[in-house]
Amino acid sequence: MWTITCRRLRKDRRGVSNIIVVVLSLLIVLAIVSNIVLWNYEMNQLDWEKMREEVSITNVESVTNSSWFNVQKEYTVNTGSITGGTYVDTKAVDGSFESFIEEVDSGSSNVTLIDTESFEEYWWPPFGWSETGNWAKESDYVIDGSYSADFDGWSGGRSGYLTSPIMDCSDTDTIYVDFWWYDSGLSNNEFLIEFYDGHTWDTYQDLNQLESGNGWHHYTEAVTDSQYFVSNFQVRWRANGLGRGITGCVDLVNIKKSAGSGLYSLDFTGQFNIDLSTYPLEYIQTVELQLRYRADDLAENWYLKAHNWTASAYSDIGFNSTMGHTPTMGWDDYAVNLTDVWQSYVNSNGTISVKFVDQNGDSDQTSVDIDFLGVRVKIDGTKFTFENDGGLTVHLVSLWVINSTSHQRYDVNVFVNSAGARNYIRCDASLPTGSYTVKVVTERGNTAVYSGS
Amino acid sequence: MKKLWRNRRGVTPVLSSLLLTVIAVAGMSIAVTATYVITDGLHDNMGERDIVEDVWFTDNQVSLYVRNVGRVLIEIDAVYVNSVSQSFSPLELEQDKHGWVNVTYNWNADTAYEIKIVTKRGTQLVDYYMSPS
Repeated sequence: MWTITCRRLRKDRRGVSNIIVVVLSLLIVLAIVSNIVLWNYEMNQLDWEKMREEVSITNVESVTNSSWFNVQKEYTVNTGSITGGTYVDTKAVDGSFESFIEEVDSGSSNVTLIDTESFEEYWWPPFGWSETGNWAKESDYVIDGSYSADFDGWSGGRSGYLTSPIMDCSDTDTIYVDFWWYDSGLSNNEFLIEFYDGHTWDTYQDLNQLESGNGWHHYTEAVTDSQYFVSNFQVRWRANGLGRGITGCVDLVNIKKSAGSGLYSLDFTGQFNIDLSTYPLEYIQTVELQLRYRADDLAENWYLKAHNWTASAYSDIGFNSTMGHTPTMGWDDYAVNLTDVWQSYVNSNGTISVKFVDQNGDSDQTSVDIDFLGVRVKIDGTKFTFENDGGLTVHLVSLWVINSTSHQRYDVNVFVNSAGARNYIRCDASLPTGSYTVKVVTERGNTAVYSGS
Repeated sequence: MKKLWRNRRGVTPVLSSLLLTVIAVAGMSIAVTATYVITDGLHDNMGERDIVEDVWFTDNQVSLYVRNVGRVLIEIDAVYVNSVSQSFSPLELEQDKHGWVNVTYNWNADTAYEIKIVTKRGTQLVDYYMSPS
């Protein structure tokens, strides 16, 4: 049959073009119809999926707080050290905790005890200083200003002391002594520096043995001998039996101590990130910090501070409590509220940096266990609980809170997995007083309703 | 052409073939076009899905919040309350869009109303809604 048709077409080719036209047209018609069939299939599937959806609202309640936000990485310990546990142990109130211990603060700046004393004052000796023998303010030899402390020898030998004011060095581990001294014919054991340890004067250095040539010499010394870390530390320069024509001078005296050294302190910071997608800044009323800790020293208070992004410093100014918390040796809860100044402490991406610090360093090395440290925000919102009992994931697109006077609609974008539940918090939705209805609409067009009052 | 004019026996087959081709092309074009037009309307009708998310009875007005959950644009063509056509604010919704249709209607409290929304393609969305007491 096919062979006969082909032979006929070869003999009379006039019919071929018509056949081609008809076949092509039929193909186009077939394509269009197929498209409709497939489209029908797709829409049927949509309806079938809609029928399989089974979403419900199981609970609606007002919320005034967010959940707790915790640190997501280890705390930065500025002073002190971690002795056990990790930051993960501080995420919940439970038996596990992270332990810290105070350390000597070595990173602080120095405290000046005598500030560039060059004996320029009208009064001699300067206030707090004392002298014996032949010490005097003279301008014969100076390294700074117009005068220096000068001791001139005499026949038979003269001796005397130039003594500094009393300095409290009980809270340090290093004393920095710095001055210039002048040598005019000095010999060994004639010009010495002595330190007072609270009981006795000790000769610390025979200056001529350091540098014996005439002229000005610069003396610097970092004193780390703990016998001098007393509350009544003093320095004195001793001229010992200087003969005629022999002179020793002192000028430009600087004495400092390492601040905070010798005192134990603990200071660490943690960074918390507030979920702004759930709790937008415009709906946050304030921020709370909560701490559960245990310290083995009753004598010092502990503080929670936050980084003030405006002032670029850690502070607790504006907090509801700035007095700190006195530990009881057991587990203590300490909470502070950032009141209406919270915006200074939360930056635009929701980060708040919290510092835990003691009041001041002290001589006792305290151990601190942190069971919980968290941040949360205060809001006036509503929490909705959705449950999906169907076999398909549902996409919630519309939320209604309805009462007799208001039909408030919210755009939402919430997915709830099959056989799953999901809590959804809206900071901008507050429940009306009296009876109300909450309605949620899925992308496929189903609706779930909840009635409450 | 001169040859054709002189020998007219060859004209008829050419004309017949040409005519047959034109008829075939025209016929199939009409068939294809008709198929396309018919199925296109069918396609859009099948793709229409819309829901009423909320109904709010306010002073002399019934507001319906309509969402287009189908695959094609919808246009509200008529709203009937108890089978009586009512004036309403026109609404056209693209796919996944939503909006209020405000129907001017003097309703009575605590009464059930049958409200029917009809789209331009004829899809009907009808349900009963109770007015507040």
